[in-house]
This record gives sequence, C-alpha cells and structure tokens, in this order.
Amino acid sequence: MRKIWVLIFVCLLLNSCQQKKNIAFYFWESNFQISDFEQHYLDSLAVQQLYVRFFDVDIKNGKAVPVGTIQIHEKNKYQQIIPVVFITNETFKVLPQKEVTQLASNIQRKISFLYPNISDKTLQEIQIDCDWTESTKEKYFHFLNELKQQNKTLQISATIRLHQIRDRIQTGIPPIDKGVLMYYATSNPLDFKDKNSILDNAVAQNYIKNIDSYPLKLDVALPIYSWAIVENQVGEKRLINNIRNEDLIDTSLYQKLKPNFYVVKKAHYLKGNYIYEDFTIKTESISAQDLKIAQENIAKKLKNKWEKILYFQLDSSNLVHYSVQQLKTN
Amino acid sequence: MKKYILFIASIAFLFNNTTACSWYSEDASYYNLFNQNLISDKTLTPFFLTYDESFYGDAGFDGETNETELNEDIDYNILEWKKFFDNQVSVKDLNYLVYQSKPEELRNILSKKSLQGASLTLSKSIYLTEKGMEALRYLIFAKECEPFAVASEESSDDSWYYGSIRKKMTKPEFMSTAKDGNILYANTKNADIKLRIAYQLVRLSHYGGFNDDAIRYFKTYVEPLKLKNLIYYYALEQKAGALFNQKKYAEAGANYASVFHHTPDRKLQCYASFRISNQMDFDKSIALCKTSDEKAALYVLRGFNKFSNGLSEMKNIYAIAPNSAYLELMACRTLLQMEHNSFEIPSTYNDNTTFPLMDAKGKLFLQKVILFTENLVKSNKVKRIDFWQAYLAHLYLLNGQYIKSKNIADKINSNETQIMTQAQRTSFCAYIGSLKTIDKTAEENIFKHYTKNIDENEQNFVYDILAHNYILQKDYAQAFLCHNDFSGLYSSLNINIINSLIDFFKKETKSAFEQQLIKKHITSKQPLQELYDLKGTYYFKKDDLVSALVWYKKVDSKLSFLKIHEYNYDDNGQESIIEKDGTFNGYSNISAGIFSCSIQTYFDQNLQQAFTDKTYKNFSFIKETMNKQELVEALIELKKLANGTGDNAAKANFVLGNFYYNTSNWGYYRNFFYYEPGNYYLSYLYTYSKSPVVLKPTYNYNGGTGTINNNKIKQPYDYFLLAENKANDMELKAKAVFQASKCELDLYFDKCENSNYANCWSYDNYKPLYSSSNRPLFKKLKDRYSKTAYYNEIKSNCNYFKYYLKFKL
Repeated sequence: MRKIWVLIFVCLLLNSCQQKKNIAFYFWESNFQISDFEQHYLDSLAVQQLYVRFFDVDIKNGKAVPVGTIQIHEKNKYQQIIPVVFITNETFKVLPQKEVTQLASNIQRKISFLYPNISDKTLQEIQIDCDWTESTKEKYFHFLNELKQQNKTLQISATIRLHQIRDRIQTGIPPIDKGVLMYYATSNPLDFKDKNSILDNAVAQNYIKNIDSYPLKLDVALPIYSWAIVENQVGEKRLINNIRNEDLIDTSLYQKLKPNFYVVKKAHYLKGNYIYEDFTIKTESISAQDLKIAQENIAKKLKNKWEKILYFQLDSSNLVHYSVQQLKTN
Repeated sequence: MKKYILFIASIAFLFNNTTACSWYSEDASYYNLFNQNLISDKTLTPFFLTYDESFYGDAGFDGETNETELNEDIDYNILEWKKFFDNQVSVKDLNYLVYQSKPEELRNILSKKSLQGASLTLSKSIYLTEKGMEALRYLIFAKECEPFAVASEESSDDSWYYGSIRKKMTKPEFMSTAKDGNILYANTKNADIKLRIAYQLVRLSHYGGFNDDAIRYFKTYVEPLKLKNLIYYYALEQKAGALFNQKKYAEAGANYASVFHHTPDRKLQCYASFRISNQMDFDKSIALCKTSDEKAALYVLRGFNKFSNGLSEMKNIYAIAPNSAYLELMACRTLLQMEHNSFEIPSTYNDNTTFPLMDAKGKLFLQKVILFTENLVKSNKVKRIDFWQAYLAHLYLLNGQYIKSKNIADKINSNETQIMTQAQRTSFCAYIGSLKTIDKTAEENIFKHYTKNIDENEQNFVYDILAHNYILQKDYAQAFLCHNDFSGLYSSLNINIINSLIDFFKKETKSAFEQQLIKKHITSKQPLQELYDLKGTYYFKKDDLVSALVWYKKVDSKLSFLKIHEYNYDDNGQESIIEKDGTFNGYSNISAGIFSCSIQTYFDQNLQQAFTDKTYKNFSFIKETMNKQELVEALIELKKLANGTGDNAAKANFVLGNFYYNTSNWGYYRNFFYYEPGNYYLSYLYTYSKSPVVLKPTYNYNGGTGTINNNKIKQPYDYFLLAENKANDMELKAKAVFQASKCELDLYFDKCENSNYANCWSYDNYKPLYSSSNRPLFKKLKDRYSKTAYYNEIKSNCNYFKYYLKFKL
C-alpha cells in the first residue's frame, strides 16, 4: 500500500512540474541576417531551430509562382534551419489538380537551391504554411502527400490555424508528420473592433476545446509581433507592422481616442509609411502576461503532448519588448 | 521597408476575403461615372485608379499582361533613332538594327564602308554617313554591354528556374568594357551618340554595382553635353538607381521625380524604384527638385498609393503647379475612390436601402474635397476651368446635391467633346437622383435620353436608381422590368410583383418608355398567360389549391416556356448555351411519377427507373401526363379521399405523401416549384448553404427576387403516417412507414442545418444517419413490419437500414 502512495506522489510531482518546452523562432523577413541583439536572445533561450520563410507561392496568370524570395546574407552556424514556404489558399483554388505534383517538385528544388546558402547542416524538415479551407483541402493534402513522396527522408510539417482545429471535420487533418498550431489571429484585424485580433485568450480558448483529440503531433506558435491597423478617410484599412502604443505618444501627431485607438493630427511618416491627417489607428500587441496565460491554457488542454514553442517572429523590434526571462517557457 | 510589406502581405492574406477569384472584379463592383480619360496628359494613363491591377490598363511594369491598349507599345527609343536618322529608316528596320542585328553585321558595314553584302533591312545609305557610322559603332558597343544589363531570371522572382542569371560583372570586366566606352566617347563627334554612349556607361556602372562610377560618368559625360532629350533622362534614371544603392534616398527621389515627369515610358519604373520613408528625406527631395512640375511629380509618387489621402496631395500640388495634369490625376483618383465608397452596385440582399452609400467619415471627406474644389474654381489659377467645373458638378452628385450638380453641369460649354459628354452624364445622373417620383414626364425624359448612345455604366446606374424609386412608389411591375424577364421571379414568387405585372400587361395603352421597358427584357409571346401560371403557382406553392386552380384555368393549355439548358464549350473554352425541349415545360408535361416513389431516389435516372411504385394507378383521375391544372384538380380530389377511412383513404394519403416528398428539396421533382426544367441545376436547394425562408427588403430587383426555401418535409411525413394509420394492408403500411422514415432523415438534416451540422454528421461519420435515436421509424419497421415483402426489399436496397440492423446503434 505504501508503495502505491509513493508512486502516486511521484506521478503527481512529475505532472505538476511539467517538462520545460524547447523554444524556436520563426524568421519572416525578406533579408536573412541575424543582429547581435537577436543572437543574444537565441543564445540565452538555447534556441536550436529557426523556421525561416524562404518564399511565398501565389497565383499569377493562372500559374503558381514563387514570390518574395528571401535574400540570404549570411550562413547560420548554430541553429537547424527549417525552410518554411507560405502558399496562398488562392493557389490551391486556381491551380489545376494535375499541376500539384509539379508544384511540389518546384518548391523542393527551389529550397534545395537556397538552403546551402543559409546552412551547412543537413536539411531535416520542410514546413508549409497555408490557410487551407474545406474547398481546397483535397488539392492541398494531395500536394502535401506529393511533397512527402518526393522527400521521404525529410519531416514534413505544416501550420494549423485555430479554425482548422475547431472545424476539423470540414477542413480535415493534413497528411503530415507534425503540425504547428498558430495560437494567434483570433479575429479579423480589419474588423477594427475593440478586441485584440492578434490574440484574445478567451476567444482562442474556445477554438481549442477539443484539441486533445486532434490526431496530429502539435507544437505551438505564439505571437510576439505587433501592428497598427490604419483606417483612411473612406474607411479602407491597412496594416503597418511593429507599431505599439509607445510609437504614438507624440501628441502633436496623434490624439488618443480610447485605449489603443488614435486619430492622426498631421500627415507624417510612421515607420516608413506616409499616413495622412484624419486617419484612425488601432494598435495591437501581446503582453508577456498574455503569453503566459496562453501557455497555461494550452498546457491544460495539450498536457505534455507538445514539445516546443515557436515565437512569431525573430526581430529586434519585437524582442526589445520582452525580456529573455519572459520568453522562457513555463 | 520591404520586409514590412512582405510580412503584411503574408498576414493580410488571412483576412482578405476579396482576394480576386478569377471572375471577381473590384473595379466592376461600383459605378464609375467619372471618366478618368479627361486627364489632360495621356502618358499618365497607367496611374488612373484601378482596384484590380497594380496599374490601370494592365499589370504594369512586371510584364504580366501586355494585351491592352496601353501596350500598343510605342517604343520611344526607336522613335529617337528615327529622328536621329532624319526619318529615313522605318520603325521595322530600326527594330532590326537596334535589337536584332549582330555586331558582326555592323562591323562588316563599317570595315567595308559599304552596304555590299548587308541584309536588306540594313541596307540604308544613311548608315554610311559620318553620324551613321558613329551610330553603328555605338550599337556594337551597346550590344557588348547588353549581357551585363539584361535583368536576371533570379531577380525577377516569379520563376522557378535559374537558367539565365544576369552575368555578374567582375571589376576587370567592368574596367575593360568601360575603357572601350571611354575611347568610343572620346572619338565620337555626334552629341546624340555621345549621350547614348554615356548612358551605356552610367547603366553599366550602376548594374555592376559601381555606384560611384555611375554618378561620375553622369557628371562628366552626360551633363557636359547639355542635351536634355529622352536618353538624358534614361541616364538620369540609372544615376538615381546608383544614388539609391548608396542610400541617398532624397537625391534619388528628386532624380526619379524628374525622370517621371520628363519621360513617357519610364514612369512605372520610377514609381517602382522610388522609396522615401521619412520626412527629412522627403523635404530634402522636394528642395532638390528643379521645377514645380518635378515637385508635383514627387507628390504623385508619394500619393499614388490607393490608400492615400488624395486631397492632401491635391493641396500640395495646387500650391505649386495648379495647371499640372498631376493635379487632375490626383483629383480623379480621389473622386473614384469616393465613387468606390459610395456607388457600390447594390445587391438583392443589401441591407442598406439608401444610395449613395456613404458613412459619416466618407461624407466629411467629400465635404472637404468639395470645399477645396469650390475655391479652386473661384480662383483664377486654373486654365482648364471646364474640367474643374465638370469635376465639381460630379462631387455635388456624389453628395446628393442634385440641383446644384445639374445646374453646373448644364452650364459647361467646352470645346473638348469628352468634357461635354461627362457633363451630360453627370447632369442626367443628377436629374435621376433628384426625382422624388417617376411620373410620365420623367419617363419621357429618360426615354429621350436613352435614344442616344450612352455609356453602359451610366445606364446601369440610372436603372438601379429608377428601379429603387419605382419600388418606393409601389410600381412593382416597372421596378421589376428595369432588370428582369419573368425568370427573375421563379425562385421567389412575389405576389405584389405578379399582380402589378398582370395590371401592367393588361393596360391597353402604354407609353413609349413602358414599351421600351418591356422590350428590354421580355421576349415572351404570351406574357399574360405566363403571369397567370406564375400566380397560380404562387398559390400552389402555398398549398392553396383552390386559388391556384382559379388562375390555372385561365392558362392556355398549350403554354410552354421552359427549356433544358446545356452548356457547350468549344476548343477555346468559350461557353455557349444550347436549349433543348425538356419534359416539364413550365406548365405541362408533368409525369404521374410525381405521385410515385421507390426505395432509393436517384436524381440522374429516368422516370421509369426513378419510380417503381404504382399505387397512384388506383386513382383513375390521375393521368399519366398532366398540366398544372390537371395536377391541382387531382390533388384536390386526393385530399377529399384522404379524409375518409380504409385502404382507399390510406392510398390517397400515401400518394399525397409521395407528391409532397417528391417536390421537397430532397425529391426527384425538387425543381417543380422553382421553374427549372430538370432537377440537375438545383444544388443550392439540397446542399447545406441555406436559402432564406423570408427575404430581406431589397434595394431593387437587380438580380431577380432571390430564392425562398419551400422545403416543407413535415407535410409528406404526416401524410405517410396517416396512410399507415388508415391502411389495413400490411404492405402499404410498411411502404408508408419507410417513406416516412426518409422524411425523418430529411427532418434531421433540416435540424442540422439550423445548428452546426458538423455536430450532426460528417463525411467520415455517417452513424447519426442510421442510429436508433435519430431513426425511430426504422425501429417501427423492424418491430411491426418485418414480415412484409416490402421489408425484405428495404433490407436489400437501403444501406442505412442495413447498417441500422447491423450496428444496432
């Protein structure tokens, strides 16, 4: 009997101090170069993997073409580089089924052309990022299968959005080795409502009610980016990255309307974008506290079934708002 | 900066619902009633406002599509050459000389100083003059530079291949090529050719990444020639690129503005290369611009972005260059942006029933633009006053100030035809907008106006407003006829419109306008007959059989108006519609199968295969082929019998159940009440995208009256259970219960449709469709009728029932 109690105690103990998660980062900029400041974060957080967006794929004149290919300025010696390719859902809407195999081999070839410029390590994984829907799942899944067929030794992973977890019956489960749950983009930023569209923990929680039964291994991506949603004189909206409330404190340029909402008093450049008088701005960012709650909520649902956290994204202008300690996992 | 754009692009994809599907056009989503071609400088055409492409008329400088009027490409470089050769060489021959000839061919001419042996296209005596030979020497040099200047596949980014990457220049290669250029420059007398050599050297340096050299060449080779022709600006563009590479954005910006202003063919490239991201650089750039026009061009480069506040840039340009075409350009872009915001083409289900649609913010902005334009018109600073009056009149139209708009537009007396056409359009639209009611005079005016050949966009705009006004004054027939033929009613039989149309067609004298309204859409030879049928069917759909019969009795029994449509595609993918006679022609040719049933319903089978049950044959009044009058009469008779008792009443109930099931959304005749000749094109009725039961108020009937769901599956369910109840015959009972169980499934689907159907069933999980909790009638079948022959038939033919028995869920 005593032995049983000891066993139970040890189990409880193990359960209460969950295993620390590994940390990885996404790198989503068009020029690959890591600053000293960014390197400091990578070192301090013992980051082993960098998920680097190599290029996007979009449809132009009915053809799937690469867009915005990364410019690689240095070779990374420390981390395992995982190429990520963002494919627009439109691509799978328009692309004929018979061209899917070709797309997979085009992507594979372009990655193998770029990869030696960024890393000397052996390529281990390719990640595909696509907001597929019920109408495109068939072609997208076929594409993933083809990619795997052509790269049997590699791990193929893909991003999974919150709605794809919740609506799995309609959107299906992608045929991949592993998924990354994008634990952000909880609403449409263009709605311009009071809610934080990057991550509202209450909303996100609703999406993952049944995540424990999701039949794929998942890691979790958390947002550390910020942006401004800018509305012009006729109600059209655009996003400007890396804007936080601190950037809008000059009262000669901005009048605060309510928390996170401002009106532009005088035309000027805001982080390289020319914005005009009377434009309205809403800022969105994620606090360290929000990140902590998100992790707790996920941990409650996924228990120990996830291995790492991927922060989106590695950029000094994001990192400066979080201490190394705050980015360490629970 | 680029990294922000990329990141935004990738995230924004998530939220962009309007991402162009192949058929969607944002430009076609609103009424553009102001003509951008009024802008006086035609070389600005690519910068007109368009929401569909990066640049108006085509996809612009990246060369994606090159088939529009814009790209009836004028090659300005060739025109320069033509001038240079005193118009003695044709464009075709110059194209060969400049772009296709081989250096050896040119060297041959030079070495022999003769055209002997030269190809016909190169046999031009002017090539043997001093300046001609200098030109040939230059071209040999230019061809030598070409491999270093052609853009690489890699940098064009939208290719998967890496075959022909631009030759990267080494320093020694550059030095050697540049040396050839230097010698040639020194030995050349003709200033035009010297300038071209200098241009090649600036470009070579820039593309090679030798930015200092590019700038130096410009200063020492280009500038001293004091020739400000097209080639000078080509060279200046290359210098701007070198300055940009050196991060001298302000200087680069001013140079790009200059090239933008002075060249007809490098504007897009200048816009693509221009990048200033702080106020200090912009101010410096403005200060560096040499003329007011160049400064104005700089404001255009900054304000071209669709998101910009055009008024702000209009004010900047007006202050320095009020007569610049750039002011007209920004004005038109601003106006179209407001049209896009307020003249959205209304849809049937549009909640908003006011037009123009503009929120308070948009309205406030419009007031500001009006105020600015009023002051501009009052001042004596602008010369092209007619343009600005037409502009102001159109702003008043957008603002709903119709009288003011019309007054100004009517006073315009320009010698420019396009301005007069615009003024007339604005005036007429303002007149239409000002109408509170559409009376005889108004109709006469519209009729007269439409005898002229007018713009389609304007016509659509006018009909939309007109139709809306007709609805407001309850002239439903006229409102409906603005956009539709009778098929606009088929999916939702609106009795107000039908009654109004009957009155309208009965009217003996019709005005010219009314006749035109009919002619616009109605081709039917028996319009009243069709309307009587529609009215009868309106009541039939509501199951008011007595009223339906009244109207069907007025219908000519030979009436036929539905045809089966087939789509045919030729080798080029062009679609054409082929019409064929169908079984159901709108009024008659209805098979008695409508009263029959089978265990499974297959929609693509013919009638004999689809229906096996012959119970209806017990009723002699059911003819094998009927028209709607005969069908309704049979139904009335059946309903009388159904109220009785015994097997005959049971059969009547059973046959009625079949009729109502077959005409439900899940039945073989689901097309019947929607006026479709066959059941094929009705996916909207049986998929899970819900069609409304009640329509929202419409702005007008553009696009028809919508679709109203007519699925009353409870009705056959009840009839089948009554049949079971009244029957003595066990086989009939079993049949009735099984058919009721099909309704039970459909009722379940209905319920699912009203909740989240994902919880009900899925393609991976059919279990709920045969579980005992959802199919209690399966249990009834098993418990009470397992000894019938029909039960065995069900067991062999209905999979759900088989699974029900097998899995016992």
